[in-house]
Amino acid sequence: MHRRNPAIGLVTLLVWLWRSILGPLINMMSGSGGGRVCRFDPTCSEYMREAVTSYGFWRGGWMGLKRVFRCHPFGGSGYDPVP
Amino acid sequence: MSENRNLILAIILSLLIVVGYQFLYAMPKMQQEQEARDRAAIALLQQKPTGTTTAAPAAVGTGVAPLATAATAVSSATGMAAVAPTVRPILTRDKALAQSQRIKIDSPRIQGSISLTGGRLDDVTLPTYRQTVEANSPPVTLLSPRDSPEAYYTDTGWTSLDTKIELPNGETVWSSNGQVLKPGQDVELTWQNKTGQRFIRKFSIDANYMVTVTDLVENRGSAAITLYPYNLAVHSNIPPTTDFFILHEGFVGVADDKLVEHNYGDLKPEVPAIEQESRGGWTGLTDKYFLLALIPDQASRVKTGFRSSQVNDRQGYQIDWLGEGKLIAAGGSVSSTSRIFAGAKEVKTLETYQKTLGVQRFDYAVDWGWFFFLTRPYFVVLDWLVKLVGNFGVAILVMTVIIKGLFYPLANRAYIMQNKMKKLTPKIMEIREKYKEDKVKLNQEMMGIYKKEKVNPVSGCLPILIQIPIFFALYKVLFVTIEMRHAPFFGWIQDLSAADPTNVFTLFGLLPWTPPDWLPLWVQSSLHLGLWPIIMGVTMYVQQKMNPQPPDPIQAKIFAWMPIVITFMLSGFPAGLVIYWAWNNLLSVAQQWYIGRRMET
Repeated sequence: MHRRNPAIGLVTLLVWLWRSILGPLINMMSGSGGGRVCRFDPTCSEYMREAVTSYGFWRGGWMGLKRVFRCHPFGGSGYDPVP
Repeated sequence: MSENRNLILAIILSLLIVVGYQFLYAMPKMQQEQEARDRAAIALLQQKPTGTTTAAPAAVGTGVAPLATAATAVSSATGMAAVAPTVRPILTRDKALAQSQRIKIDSPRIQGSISLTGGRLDDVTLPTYRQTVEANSPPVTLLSPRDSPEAYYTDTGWTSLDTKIELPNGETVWSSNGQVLKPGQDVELTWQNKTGQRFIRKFSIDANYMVTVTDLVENRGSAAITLYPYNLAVHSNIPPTTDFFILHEGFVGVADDKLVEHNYGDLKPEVPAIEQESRGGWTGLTDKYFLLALIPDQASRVKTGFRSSQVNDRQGYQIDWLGEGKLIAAGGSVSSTSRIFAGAKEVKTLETYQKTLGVQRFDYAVDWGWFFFLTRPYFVVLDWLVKLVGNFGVAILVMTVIIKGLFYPLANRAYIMQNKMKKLTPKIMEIREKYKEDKVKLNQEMMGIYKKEKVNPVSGCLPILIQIPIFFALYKVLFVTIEMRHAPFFGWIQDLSAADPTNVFTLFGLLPWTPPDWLPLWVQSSLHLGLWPIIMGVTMYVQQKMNPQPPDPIQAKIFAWMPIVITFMLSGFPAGLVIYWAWNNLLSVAQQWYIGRRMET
């Protein structure tokens, strides 16, 4: 675990902020319908957090970004954990 | 034969020499000279007079006109001394108007007058727009003369490097050939100086918001002179803004087909001016709905400026443009035509001016935002709907249904998937708990359950992300277009562009109480909570209840508070927007409920 790495702490904080405030706020305000609509389990933000904690800031962050960009109709779906 | 050839060759050669000389030497030289003159004029226009500069005009009405600056132009062009400003008393608007003789402006959409002192447009009201929603409310005032409490006026004229030439300025008293300016009836002002030049300024007006100014100079002196046409406008005080982050108010203009926007706050003592060079274009001051734009001849090269300045000892702002120098031979004359737009930012009117008068990108005056490719088509549809159904509010509702309809299949898939997930969640939690220690087994089991239940969403979060701007764009259109101003809806909503007038904290007017105005605006608007924001909050709450709660307890708590926070956040927003949100949530809830019921049977 990289608990003491501040960069990873920051990612964890950002992911938390996104999931608990920003994401739902945008979802509600945008009028797109609300609710959690993700192709994957775990969600991209959860994936990002896990990837960064087990693979470090750079490698994990890159994995998380790649995951976000797979979020489209041809990017696969379902259970897709951090390897 | 060969003689002929030699002759032709000689002719061609000499032609080449002549043309070459013109091209390679004479023209660049002329250009250089012209540029040098322009630079000098511009430099002078920008020169900020330090208290000791003797070149700056000495006193009111000495006639050393706008040369003094554009930076201080206000002062000189307006006839005030730049060095030792005489502070003029501030009068009521009516008294300030009565100080000079005036030509009445009588046009369907512009009422007001032109001051013969200074020969300037400084009094414009818009009879087709009222200040408030009440029927007897006075018309919107756009321009007011220099000595009025909120001075906002234009100034047109010439400037020169030669300080000996007497040019008309803010104190110049012109004579006119008519009393009333109206469409089809121009008015001509004339003034003769002591150095042999005669100035003729012709004003024309159309049936909308455009005033055309043709400035003619006849040089009856013995020497050629070079004059630079300019146009400026000043606004005293800090113009009130609605202060919404999604709306641009302040300086706006187009230089070489590009939009230039700056806030009033961008100009500080350290940054007294922001300038652009452009062929054609325009420069203006705008608020949410109304615009003053100075439009030079669209074929000419100009330098435009946004400046902070002093207006009669008051902090103020200035917009201006300075044209290229025009050489006027002795006995010759030269003219400069420019336009002043003083009116409402009606989309159609602006587009018409762009088409018929060739005003460069005049449509940019409306703040369409980054999503212009969505907001503009939305406006076209919305405008058409308003004409069809006759009420702006109803048009918003119909428009929302149309957009929701376009996304119906997509949203349906999302809701179906969501419902499946809701049922699946307990099983997934169970598996997670059971195989916590064995990652390989956990993965196998999870894969299995997803396969078995066929949770296979077509969409994903990117399509949802794409939807956000699509809904945001509608919000933006509703916010910026003047067509929503003073548009009524049903019941207590008389103006969709204003906040809901009801307030639960006064029990809908039973308690004689208003939030104190010294509180920050957002606190004030939170203490003014209307019925529609509450309806919106309820729809949001219902929608939230239909979706799974987040597992994290802190997140769940934040979730629970969110509809309440958003309700207060939106309490000060235009009622049209709040109604749109409420309606949009309601449609989402209905769709989701319908899907849920269909899946159960």
